[in-house]
Amino acid sequence: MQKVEGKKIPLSERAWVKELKFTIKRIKQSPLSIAGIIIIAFFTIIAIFAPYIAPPPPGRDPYMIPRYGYKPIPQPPSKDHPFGLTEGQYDIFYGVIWGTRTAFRVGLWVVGASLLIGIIVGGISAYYGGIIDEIMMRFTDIIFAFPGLILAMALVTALGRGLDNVMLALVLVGWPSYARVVRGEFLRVKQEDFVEAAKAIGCSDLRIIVRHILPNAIYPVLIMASLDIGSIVIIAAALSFLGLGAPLGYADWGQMIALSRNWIVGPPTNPLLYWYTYIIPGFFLFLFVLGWNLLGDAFRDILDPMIRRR
Amino acid sequence: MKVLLETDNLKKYYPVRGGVFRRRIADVKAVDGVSLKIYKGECFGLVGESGCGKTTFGKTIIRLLDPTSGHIYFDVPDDVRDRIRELENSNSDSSELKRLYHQYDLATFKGKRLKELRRKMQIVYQNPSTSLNPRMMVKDIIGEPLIVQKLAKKSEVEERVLSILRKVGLGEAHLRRYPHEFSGGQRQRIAIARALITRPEFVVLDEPTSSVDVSVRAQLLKLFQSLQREMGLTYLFISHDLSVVECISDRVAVMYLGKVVELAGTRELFKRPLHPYSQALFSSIPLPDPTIKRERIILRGEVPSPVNPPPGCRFHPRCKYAMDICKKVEPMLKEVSKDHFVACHLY
Amino acid sequence: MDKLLEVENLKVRFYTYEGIVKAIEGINLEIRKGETLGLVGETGCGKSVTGLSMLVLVPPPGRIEDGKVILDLKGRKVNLLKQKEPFLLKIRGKEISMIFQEPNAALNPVYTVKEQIGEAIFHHRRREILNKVLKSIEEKARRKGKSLMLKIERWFYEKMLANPEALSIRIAFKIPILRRFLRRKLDEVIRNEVIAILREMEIPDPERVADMYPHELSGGMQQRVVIAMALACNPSLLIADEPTTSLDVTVQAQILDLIRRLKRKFGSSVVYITHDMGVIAEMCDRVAVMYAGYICELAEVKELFKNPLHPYTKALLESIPRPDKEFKSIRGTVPNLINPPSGCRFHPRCDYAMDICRKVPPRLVEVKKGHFVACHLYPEGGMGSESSA
Repeated sequence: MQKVEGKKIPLSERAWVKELKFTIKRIKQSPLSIAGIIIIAFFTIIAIFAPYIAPPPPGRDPYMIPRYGYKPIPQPPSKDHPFGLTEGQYDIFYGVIWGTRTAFRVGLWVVGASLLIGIIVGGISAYYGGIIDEIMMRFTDIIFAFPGLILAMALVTALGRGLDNVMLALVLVGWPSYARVVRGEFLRVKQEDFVEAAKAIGCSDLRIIVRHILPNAIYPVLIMASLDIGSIVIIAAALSFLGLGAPLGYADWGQMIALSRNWIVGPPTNPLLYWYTYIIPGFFLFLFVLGWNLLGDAFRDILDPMIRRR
Repeated sequence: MKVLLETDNLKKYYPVRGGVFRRRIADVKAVDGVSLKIYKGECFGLVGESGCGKTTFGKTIIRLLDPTSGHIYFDVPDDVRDRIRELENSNSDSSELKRLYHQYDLATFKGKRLKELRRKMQIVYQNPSTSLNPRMMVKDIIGEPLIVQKLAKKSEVEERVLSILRKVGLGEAHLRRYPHEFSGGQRQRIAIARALITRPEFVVLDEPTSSVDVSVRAQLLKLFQSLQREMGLTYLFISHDLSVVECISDRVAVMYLGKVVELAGTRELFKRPLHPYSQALFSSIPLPDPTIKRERIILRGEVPSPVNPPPGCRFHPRCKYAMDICKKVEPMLKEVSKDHFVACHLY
Repeated sequence: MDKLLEVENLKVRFYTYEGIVKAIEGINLEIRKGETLGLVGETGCGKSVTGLSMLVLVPPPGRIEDGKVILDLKGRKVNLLKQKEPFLLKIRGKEISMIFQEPNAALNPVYTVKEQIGEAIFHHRRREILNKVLKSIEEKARRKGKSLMLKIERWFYEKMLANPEALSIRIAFKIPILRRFLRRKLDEVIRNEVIAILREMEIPDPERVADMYPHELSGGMQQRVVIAMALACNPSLLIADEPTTSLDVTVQAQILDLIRRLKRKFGSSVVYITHDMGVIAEMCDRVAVMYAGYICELAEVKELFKNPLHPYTKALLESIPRPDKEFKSIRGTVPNLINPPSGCRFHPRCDYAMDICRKVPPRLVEVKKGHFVACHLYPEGGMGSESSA
């Protein structure tokens, strides 16, 4: 490496700027990554500007979709209701717009909490080893023994219906996977010389874990997390569809598809008469998950040091 | 000459676990009873091949590893040391002995006392690419010991980092860079700066020049010497590169399978190695002079496993002078000529 | 003075994200039959890439841009750089072999020693081995009488000999039990060959070692197995890329001894790549000193040590730590080859740099008989300034 003589390094020469430029270039090379970024950006804008795009009627909880009547038969899209009305005359347009917020909320909270718990459990397990490791890993084994969705359903049934309980159940079912991955990475980084060097300086265990091991161990889990957000939203939607999630009339895509349950196949002459009740929320769900998956792949391609330099 | 560090029958064993319940079925005897004295201000060389235990020894004496048994005395006054020896010889299980151990024997230190110890004893690793955290800036890497040991206020840290950085030949431009932006030699300097910022008295250098190029090696050796003079340091220089050890050390000890087999002043040892293993070792060094045809002693066989070292003298299966007694009795380290110690039945 | 391999004007470049690394910019080398040529230099000088180029094994993003590598193949001169892969496959391992620094990286951890060396032998000495198998089948038939099993085996091996790619053979090999049965004799013959080779490498207890996995062997033994693989087919050229750097000094002595003896026995040439001047002094007949992709000096080993001409060679020899002498190092650092210094690549670190050194890269000229230097202190034809210290 050339040594740079002189006092202050100009901004263009600084390490992090160069890395950023390289990252941007890598992103530009992968059209799918760009697609992922655009999709998520699109959803983020919708979520932020929801109150302006679909203004809630005053005095109501904005997450409850306004009803325009009580008829059970869905109404097709019209000028007043661009995406139509579903069973019970809930406005679909309002539902999918505010549903974006719900989706973000569910996805980010569940993954965030799972990540946090996973890091703590996996990190402590790996760092201290021995009996602590054994106990914690048996614990994760127990949770792994059950099929995820079934366990989540059982938990929600036990805790009671509602989106918050769904989120709690998904966190309880989801954290072991993160714990495992974090534990693996911690074990790898723990062996490196610089961790021992930190010990030689006199660093406390906590400092070593947080300052030395964690920044080097976290990349695989971050990638896993971003790929997971999509799956979590789908599972939550599935639970809502089964009637275990958000209450009736809540702005949640899964809920809205649940509402369309009886209308998936229309009269024999025109089976797709009520397409708007399930295709529209379904499409939003699909696009959201696709966006996160692409983004997660992009993260992995960008951040994985092995693939990076090819 | 004042003794700065002394070990008494230091042992470090690693348990080998096997069987259904992972019980301890054997031990890897990495360091198997080493008693050495290192004097203040000297550069003590420790040589041997891979698996002989020299790195384990270096890390154990600064308590990066916990000793299995034995004592480590750091900067203990002579009279106290004599008293301990007296009490040990009289075989009494006295409480005074226990108290002295607790106060002076590093092997017993824990917690806060151990942390304070780290200010005075430091280590520089072999591979500078892995001994520096790739996600920390140079200024944080070097400044961390000050913060952890609470030796300086936040405002003073950068200044002190800069001053030590200059001592090792780097400058202000390097503060905010990451390790991967530097060459191997420069990274090693950063590692040295980190080790020296707390002004330690004793530094373990674990093969510090093995991973760098030949031309950079000379630079680093010069740096080690000047820093030793300037800061009054004492070094334990561990290396398998005998030519480097010859140039920088005052005294050298040769280790084989966890034990010291020979110990002497550098010039004396290289001129007149007495132990058969040392002789073979020194004769294997390729000399950079094609006109000299070296009489090479090629050893038979391989280094045995430290789990089951051969009985008696550990070197006997490969030694061409092996006698009957070598298979049964383990030779003790004896002074054979002035300041020249050997553990061999030939003497 | 027979030339075995000749490298002419070799140019290798690496196309990385940070830029084009001009690793080797036109070097010329010749390797004579039966000699050991040392290639010495520091990290990044291009010695490993030179070795790989001789086997046309430069990995991407590297590319051999220009030049010739001319091998003397039983009298016929062949430019390896212009050959296609199938031809090169026949050369690698048989005419030219290479061994690397990390023995445990060169050995596949899931195959035993006899399987790995066996693979190399079988690939190159196929007919010979198959004939041996057929002979052993004949023997057995004579002793025990013909049986159906023997007939099947014989038919099978003859097919293998005649047409290695036959469909029947490929199918037979895919069925596990059939495969075990059919390969029995072949594996036995190969194992015996492997044991014979291991014995020549002076590996103790070869019968046991042949059945072992690489991780069960020590570093020195692994390296010996690697050498056995490399020499199994009696190549005329062995390229050794720092084979003893990661080994202990006593093991290194054993391995160097082994290489020397084998070389005498088989009459092969060796290209020994290293950064250790001591090893060079011991092993090599001639030495080429490389710096930043150029050969800066080339001479017989005694001449080089007695009378180094290039400032880099001199500095390198002086920087070897010697007791009772002050440590001398070379100022500056190895240059970045994406933007190498202009003219002579060593000029920023050279104590004797002149104006011309900054502008014109020096060429390798014969200054004394057999002693070549690329330095402006020694202009073409005859000795340069005698005042070289």
